[in-house]
Amino acid sequence: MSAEAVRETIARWQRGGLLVAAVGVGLCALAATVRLDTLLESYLLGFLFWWMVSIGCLGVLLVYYLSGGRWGLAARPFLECGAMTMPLAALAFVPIALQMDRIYPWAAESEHTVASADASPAEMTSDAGHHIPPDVQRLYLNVEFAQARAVGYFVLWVLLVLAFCLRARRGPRRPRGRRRLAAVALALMILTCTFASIDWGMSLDPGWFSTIYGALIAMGGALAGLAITTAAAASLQSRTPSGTQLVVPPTLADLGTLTMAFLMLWAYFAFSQFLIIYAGNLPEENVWYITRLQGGWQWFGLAAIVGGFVVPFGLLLSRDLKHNPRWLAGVALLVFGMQFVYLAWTILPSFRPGEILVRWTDVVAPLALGGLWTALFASLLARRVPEPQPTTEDS
Amino acid sequence: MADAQLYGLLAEFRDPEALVDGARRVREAGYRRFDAFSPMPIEGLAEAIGFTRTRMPLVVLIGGLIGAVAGYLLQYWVSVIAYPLNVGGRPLNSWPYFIPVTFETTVLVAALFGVLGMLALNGLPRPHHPLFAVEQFAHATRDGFFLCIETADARFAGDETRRLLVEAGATEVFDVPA
Repeated sequence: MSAEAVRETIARWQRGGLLVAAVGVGLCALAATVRLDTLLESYLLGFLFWWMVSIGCLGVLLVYYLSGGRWGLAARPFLECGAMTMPLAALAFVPIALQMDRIYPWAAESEHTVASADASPAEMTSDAGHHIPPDVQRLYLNVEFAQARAVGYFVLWVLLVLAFCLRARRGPRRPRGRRRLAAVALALMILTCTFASIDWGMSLDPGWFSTIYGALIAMGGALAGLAITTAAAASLQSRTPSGTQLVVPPTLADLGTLTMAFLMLWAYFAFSQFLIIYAGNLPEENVWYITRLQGGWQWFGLAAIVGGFVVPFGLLLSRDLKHNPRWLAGVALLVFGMQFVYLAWTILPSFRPGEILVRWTDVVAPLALGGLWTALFASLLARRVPEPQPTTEDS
Repeated sequence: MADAQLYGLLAEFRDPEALVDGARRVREAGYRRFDAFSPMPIEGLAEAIGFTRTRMPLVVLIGGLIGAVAGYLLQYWVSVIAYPLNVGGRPLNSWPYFIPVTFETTVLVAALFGVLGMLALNGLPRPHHPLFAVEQFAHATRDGFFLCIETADARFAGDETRRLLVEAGATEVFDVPA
């Protein structure tokens, strides 16, 4: 009967996700007819976030295959389902790939300056002091190459999902071979993830660069992926009164501890990017933070830090909280949600420097994609979760 | 032998499972002042003894907070009061710079409080313990599994306690002189 409650909950997630997606997609279609450019900004934010979640789930799963550990036994089905949403992310990228010239300044530039072959020197200096001439930058940042790269990334990620979420599960148990493959896969994934973050996020300000940007995005994705996994596992566990074998209770607390460790690592990445730029104080670097620390955006950032790090960090210190599935699910959802707020703080000011401006589509478009993601995640989970988890496997 | 001259009764068990089971039965019988000894950590033993939580997290938290405040104040004092330097026009209290060191001192003092607090709460260092008088107890570091009920326990009652230990699965019961 408790298995019924679990299945019913997952079915409710699926229905809820589809409902949100239907309403959200409808509203987005409406917005597209009014202001397509604004919608695309919001849509990019939504795409980036849910892609981060998918790739983050895959990354954490690979880390588990590499390191082993009891925590992974309970987390594995959830991480697999999260990673298996990758085709959705690939599909969701199509509108961005087709509308790059409306989103990215470098794509828009190439449209008209390619015609007037040699770039004027005025254009070079106008771009807030970056030292790479636009025509050199364009060798990498051009629409065709960016589209081709995106195809390459998604092919690789989908292959990894196939290898680790479908084959590894069914295949013969050769833990050592799988471990080696996971090491290679993780290296490839982090490399492509860095390039993808630069292509899709960092290039919104073509003159600005940060070497930790890709790692920060990957880390944020891993944190969000682990947080949603923990939240899903904890809330399902809280619905099985007799403490059945869905999630072994000590493992659930371990997931809370791991979420905290990821949270600290993410905060470390995010802070070191800021500290290094603050210390250097070079005009081509600090402009990114200056945009984000004035005109009201600073409160947005402060909220992301307080709600996304200070509060959950303080709460996750408590051992009692981590042993209470309901509370743990709540805190994990907070971490998850605030990761979105932080991402919005890094993305939106690129489009809207100056006074803070948040449009309704900034919430609706990510929610629409999130509804689809949740519905897919739940439908995958429904097939995977009821399998009883043996408590003594693993290395 | 009068109870007054005893520290307690030490019972030896055959294996870890027997020890966990014995500890559970002793606790169910109402005893509270007893402890178990084994050469390695045993899953479930802490729960069986009724050892649920310690004050260690609080000790470490206090240490961490002291470290954080002291670390920040040290830097503040150096950079703002004792030796103010204009570095690239930044404010003297440039807090982003202070965060890494503040973090380090937080961890340092928390860890020191952790080690020292653990020793203090365990009553260590302690060169001698009444249990050492029992020759057999040396096996606790190799292959012996022991449980000791102290006479200080409110329920302690000589032969009755001894009988309980035997019923709980002890292979042998020793008197521990005070």
